[in-house]
Amino acid sequence: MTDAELTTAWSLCSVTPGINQIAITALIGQKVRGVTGAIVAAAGLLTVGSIVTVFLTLSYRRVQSLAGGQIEAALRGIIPATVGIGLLTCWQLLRPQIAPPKNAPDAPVPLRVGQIQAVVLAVAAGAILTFTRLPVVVLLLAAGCVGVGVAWRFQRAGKEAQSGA
Amino acid sequence: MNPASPDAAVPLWAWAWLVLKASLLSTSGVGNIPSLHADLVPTGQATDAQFAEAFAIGQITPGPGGLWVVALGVLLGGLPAGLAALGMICLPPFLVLVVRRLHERVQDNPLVIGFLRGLSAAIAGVSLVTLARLLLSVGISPVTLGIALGALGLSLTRRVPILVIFALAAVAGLLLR
Repeated sequence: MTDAELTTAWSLCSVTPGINQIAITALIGQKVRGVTGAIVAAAGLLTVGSIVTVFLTLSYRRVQSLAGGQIEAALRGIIPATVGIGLLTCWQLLRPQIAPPKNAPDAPVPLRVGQIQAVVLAVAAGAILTFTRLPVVVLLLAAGCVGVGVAWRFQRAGKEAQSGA
Repeated sequence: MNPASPDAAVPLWAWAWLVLKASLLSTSGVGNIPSLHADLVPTGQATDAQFAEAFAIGQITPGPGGLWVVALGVLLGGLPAGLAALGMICLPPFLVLVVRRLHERVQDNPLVIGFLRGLSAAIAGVSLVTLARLLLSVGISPVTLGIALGALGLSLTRRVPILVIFALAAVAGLLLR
């Protein structure tokens, strides 16, 4: 695979739902040996990790029943740590829109608009989830549609500006 | 499946559907956390502690961090649920093979990019709410806030393995109980 092909592959993975590492692995496998290659590559990526995950979780369940008090105490430390690491994940989701790297591809909207959109959608989604019973799936789809609407608005404005010039 | 409360069992097929639905609307391996949390915790089918345990296991095991949902499945329903989760998280990424055929139309399409940007921002927002609820489950105190900020600080350095961060947090929990 060339650098250009890999870059293109990562771009495609960014518009595909789910785990990006599985998607890129499937693309590489497909390039080598078609759909069969994609499946084999993904299986190779996931086999060891899945086995270790299952084994570790089953072991944890067994230990949990034997040392309940100590596990609970350890969790009182692990849960806040999970929250801390989760905050980093949230930032990584927002960063491409709020503080994009210099070599980032062109966004469909101006930077300032993108920053405001990201913050407004994040706050609104959190508030709606907190104070209403709207299903998360509907909330996420609605936010995606807002993103489409804003991008379409600026795309149309850009075409009008071009035709006017 | 082993529910958090005995009266809240979720059938295996329903669990598989919840995982698939959440993964179809996620943009990363952990983007499905808010959707699954909203579906399972309010109904007593899972607890905040189980989510935290599964997330921690997913972070320290080899492979994609998205395998956390396999750990959650095993915690809730043993091996069958874990395998069901594994199958379901594999399906959405394979859509890339379809996307690849359309890539010239999709890749740089501003509307597709706009949709993903809106989706990602919303996932960040609902994730923050989920994280707040997780923290509330153990109580907000100087100790828990200190551990959370400490974990955030250590992970920002990108020099401390996540396994070490969780181990330190577990020790802190044991020492400070």
